[in-house]
Amino acid sequence: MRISIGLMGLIFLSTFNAIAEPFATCPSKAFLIQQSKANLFGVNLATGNSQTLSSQMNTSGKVNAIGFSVHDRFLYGFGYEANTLVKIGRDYQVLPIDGITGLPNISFYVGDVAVSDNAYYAYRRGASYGLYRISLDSEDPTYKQATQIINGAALDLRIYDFAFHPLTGLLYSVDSNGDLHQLDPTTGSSQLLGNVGQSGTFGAVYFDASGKFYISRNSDGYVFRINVSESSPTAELFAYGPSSSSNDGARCATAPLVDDDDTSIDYGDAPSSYGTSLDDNGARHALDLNGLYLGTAVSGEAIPNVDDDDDGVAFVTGFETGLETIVITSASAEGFLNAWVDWDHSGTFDENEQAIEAAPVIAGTNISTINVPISAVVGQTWVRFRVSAESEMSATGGVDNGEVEDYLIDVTSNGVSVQAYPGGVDWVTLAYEDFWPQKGDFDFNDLVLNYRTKTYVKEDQVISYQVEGEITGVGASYHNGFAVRLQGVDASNIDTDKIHYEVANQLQNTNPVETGRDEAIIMIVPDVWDHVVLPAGCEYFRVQTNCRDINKVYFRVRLPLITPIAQANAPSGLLDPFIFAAAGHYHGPHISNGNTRGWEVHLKNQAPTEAFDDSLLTTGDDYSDPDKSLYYQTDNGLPWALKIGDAWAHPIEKVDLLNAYPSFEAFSQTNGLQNPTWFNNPTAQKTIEQ
Amino acid sequence: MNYSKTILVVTLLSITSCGGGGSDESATAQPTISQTPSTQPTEPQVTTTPTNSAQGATKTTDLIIEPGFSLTSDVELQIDVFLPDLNERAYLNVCPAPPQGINVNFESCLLRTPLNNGVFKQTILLSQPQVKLVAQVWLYTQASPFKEYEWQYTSGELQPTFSLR
Repeated sequence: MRISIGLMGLIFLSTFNAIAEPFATCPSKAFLIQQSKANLFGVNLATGNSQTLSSQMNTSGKVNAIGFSVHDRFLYGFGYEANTLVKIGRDYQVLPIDGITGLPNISFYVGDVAVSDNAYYAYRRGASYGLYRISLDSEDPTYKQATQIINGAALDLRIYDFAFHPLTGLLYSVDSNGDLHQLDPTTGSSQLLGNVGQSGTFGAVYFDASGKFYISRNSDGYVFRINVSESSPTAELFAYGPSSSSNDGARCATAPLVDDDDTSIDYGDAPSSYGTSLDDNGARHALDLNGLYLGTAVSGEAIPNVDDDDDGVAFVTGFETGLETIVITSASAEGFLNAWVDWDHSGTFDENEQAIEAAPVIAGTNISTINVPISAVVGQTWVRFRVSAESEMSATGGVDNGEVEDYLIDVTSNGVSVQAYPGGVDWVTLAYEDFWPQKGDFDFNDLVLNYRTKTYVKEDQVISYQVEGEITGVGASYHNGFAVRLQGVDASNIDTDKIHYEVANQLQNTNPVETGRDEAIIMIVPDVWDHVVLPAGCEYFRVQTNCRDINKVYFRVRLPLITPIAQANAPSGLLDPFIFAAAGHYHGPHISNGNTRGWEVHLKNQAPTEAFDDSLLTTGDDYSDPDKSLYYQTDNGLPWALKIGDAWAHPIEKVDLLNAYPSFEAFSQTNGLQNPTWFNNPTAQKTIEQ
Repeated sequence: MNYSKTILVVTLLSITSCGGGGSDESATAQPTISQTPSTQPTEPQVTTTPTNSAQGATKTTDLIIEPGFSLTSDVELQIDVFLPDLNERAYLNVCPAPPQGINVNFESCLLRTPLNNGVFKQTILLSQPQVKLVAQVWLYTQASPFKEYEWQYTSGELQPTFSLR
């Protein structure tokens, strides 16, 4: 726990006012009051990060049993010095409330303010005490009068705080044995809901606006989250908070746990099944730009995946099954490193998948060794690194310091080389005109994709392929599909049982290898219109200026081979990507007998597949000449498809290629000698940025 | 391609045909092929200086492109490692060279491979010639690369090779 006069405290201190003023808002941060001379802290329950709000609260004694009133936005509690109910406003000064009657002459350490009822409730076990209600409504005839709801002999609970559920109005607490109790504040009756699996003194308990219950254990500061509506509620470790021998908490129960615009938290990036978002109790760290983090920078995010600076881990050697690999981490300060790898591709980081456990790191460069299990599943999987001042760490939950960085890694069998075209993270662009065999409008945006491949080689034999891409533009109403041919690879040689096939971040349970073909043709996206989502007012996908900010559609296919192929005889690099007419949709007058699959467009001078309808060649504007290995070009040698050597800003709908990229002219006229990177020089306002 | 665009293109083609026989002229003007294209598009070597298009073409349809030119900028690069003194387990990364002061991003590599006995040879494909590469050889016992090399395409290089010696 780091206690300091934080920003929140300074803001409130600056508004000090001798006359008690309520808090300006219903804050998302929890309040925690500690120590024999009361100190008040603001706690972010999502990370356990705490900041001192005040250590001078105008009292020499404890304040306990605090609750936040949503009715007047004051904190209420039991002041030990004044021996009565006190209120605390935005100046954090303890103000005894005069005239409270009906309370026994004893201090209280369990209390909260109801949400639906403007009243404070306090509890103390023992036959002489019990559960009391004190009206805080000045219009109420019983204002400031304490009424006993139930005697402490009848309600005998070893609890240290309770909190009102914001939706049901019931009280909840966890006793020292870990038993979860639900109390009806109108009758004092209680119900045991079960044991949550954690024991100890839970001196501060809270609800958030959604009805999730949080309990903070005094001895270690651990914050647990409980879904009280479950049939068997369990305590899930949620954050590592501040510990204290004396502890009481309160928060505005109608506030979300974290404000929507709160960017003070660093989250991971792995898919939600790994625990990434706050709802999923994802890995998260309080942002501290001057503290401990990986790499050269860290950034906070209101939600995961928005703004990452994951730059602290270098995978300098490959992950080969049965062998050691090393990773180089750079840290900004001393701390501990923990890491998990999803070796079995289950979508979770299991306890037995912790690859680095509490390894000390120094400021600067560190080397760590990871043993890749012989049983690790080959393919892409996620790895999570967490650096923190805490040595013990799980793969999920919040911490008040450090950083989490998630990465996709590639696990291979031992001795495997990986070739990536054009690189591991770079793209080439594929841009198609779909009016073939008629000339189109040459805006080359009827279908646009980012594209890359990987070829896996072991002992000069290709053993596997991976094709990855993103649909970045659809400027056509024709329904096109996207496929890749592995030229010279038998369809029967694809190990279909081990294929990984995902589109739009959804695993596909179909076989993408086209049936009935001799050669391996991978039908990755049978119809792009099945996956693109258009906002209202958009006719096309990311080709119009007012419709450019739409998420791209990602896809990936991993294709292990049954029998390795000699590298000299196997395709690699670009492979043969092409588009075809989607089944069941009209695709122009040239398709006869409904043979949409017979219509294909490949890159210039790339022969079509065995599924192609040869009768379409040399029709319309097509000047293919198979005898000379010339395909998919007009009489002027113009193509219907382009492969561009980088992630490309494609032309806006109906903007001619030459208008958007004038330097294409010299490139095309010099056989590529001039302007080989013509695609990096667009005309302003003529293209759709990536 | 939407249907209204289809109608527009067909109409324009009809006007061209009726207007003066331009399409017939184009159909007979098959430029000489300078290189027999393979089914895997590769960068051809220029044997002529093709300037068939009208000067200052403003529309793509004005261009006349060599039939054999597949409009790609790919470059084949041979990676040739010969480090016979390397007698322990090692790993090779060939990656885009980062800007000055920035570390190599190993996720971006074009080639990652274990090195056996310090000898390795493989051809990789670059999507454009203007790429600068860095090769790092790592041992499994050190926190910094054992060897580091850089390579950049030289215009006109017939058989680009990245030699690691």
